Amino acid sequence: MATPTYVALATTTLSGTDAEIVFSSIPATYRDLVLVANFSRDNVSVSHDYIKLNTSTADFTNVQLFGNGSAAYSATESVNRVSTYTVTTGRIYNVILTIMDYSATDKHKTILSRYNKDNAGVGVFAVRWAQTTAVNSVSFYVTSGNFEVGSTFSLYGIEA
Amino acid sequence: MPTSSALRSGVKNYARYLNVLAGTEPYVAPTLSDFDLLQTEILTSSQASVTFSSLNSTYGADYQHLQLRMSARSDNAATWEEIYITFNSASTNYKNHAIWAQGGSVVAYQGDTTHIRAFQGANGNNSPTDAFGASILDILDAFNTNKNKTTRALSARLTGDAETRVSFSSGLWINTNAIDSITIKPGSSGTTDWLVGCRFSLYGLKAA
Repeated sequence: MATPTYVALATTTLSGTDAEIVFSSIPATYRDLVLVANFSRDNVSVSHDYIKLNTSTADFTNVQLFGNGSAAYSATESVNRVSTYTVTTGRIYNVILTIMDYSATDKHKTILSRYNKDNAGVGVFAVRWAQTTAVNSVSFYVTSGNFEVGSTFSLYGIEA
Repeated sequence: MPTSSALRSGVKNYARYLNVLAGTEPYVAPTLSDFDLLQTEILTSSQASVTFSSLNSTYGADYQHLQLRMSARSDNAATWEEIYITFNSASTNYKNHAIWAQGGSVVAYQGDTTHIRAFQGANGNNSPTDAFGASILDILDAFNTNKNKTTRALSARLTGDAETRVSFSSGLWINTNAIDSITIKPGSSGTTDWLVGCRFSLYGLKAA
């Protein structure tokens, strides 16, 4: 029997600037989480968005692929980044990422993050968090400056 | 208890109901959704393949598109594995295109005619313990009998070595038959198995 899923769990719309969006007390009811972030930023000197799982910033590795309109790039890193781009004030960025098997305790957590800068780039990050702990909180944040007023962040749950 | 006697009995707070159904919990309709979990397999023992079957007869009238969400790791004696997918047990008339990142290089590829491939979507058994590849693959108009079947996927494996990859890919099955079965198997050698803990979930997306 089919099971309705892709359930909206929480949404934050910024009425003031904020550097970190936290979704906490996430139930283990679902198998995957999807975070949809649509935002602008006020700092042009830092070009990444970051994630914390259960407040942890350790044990992350990533591989990334992105294009800026004239060339394609790739890299691997050992940091908790989920996107990279050149920040321009007043521009819209979006990141849609899936945390696979967030509630499982027999797997590292893999994130597939797909992101765009409105007219200047597209890319994907795959991230592995080398912990088997179930995820009960997710933070999406920047290390300098803020997300601006009107930015939206929504979290969804998908059963399996 | 009749309400007329409730006050005389000393009860101060009571409600008077006009019929026997009043006061019961209101009926709450099931949550409506256009994205539904259809079937899932989470392996408790190693398997050479996973098959979802009777799809058209069970879901064809209600859903337009399908999505596979997969966490995969095989017993391949390497850090990598590949995910091969076939429809209706057919092994011909497939095409694939992909672009992926490996280290500091970007690779573009076309090929594979015997299956749909979720490129770089699974780990092998020499990768770090508990590390699984991840892949999300959409199958467009899966039950439409006027169209060849197309797929698109976002996949990755993080293996701790040079086999760490992330990919975009598209697939084509040159066949207008409705998809009635989907078989997912490791592609590295034809002899490897999916390991315990692998998860393959099938979702349906409705049309309006």
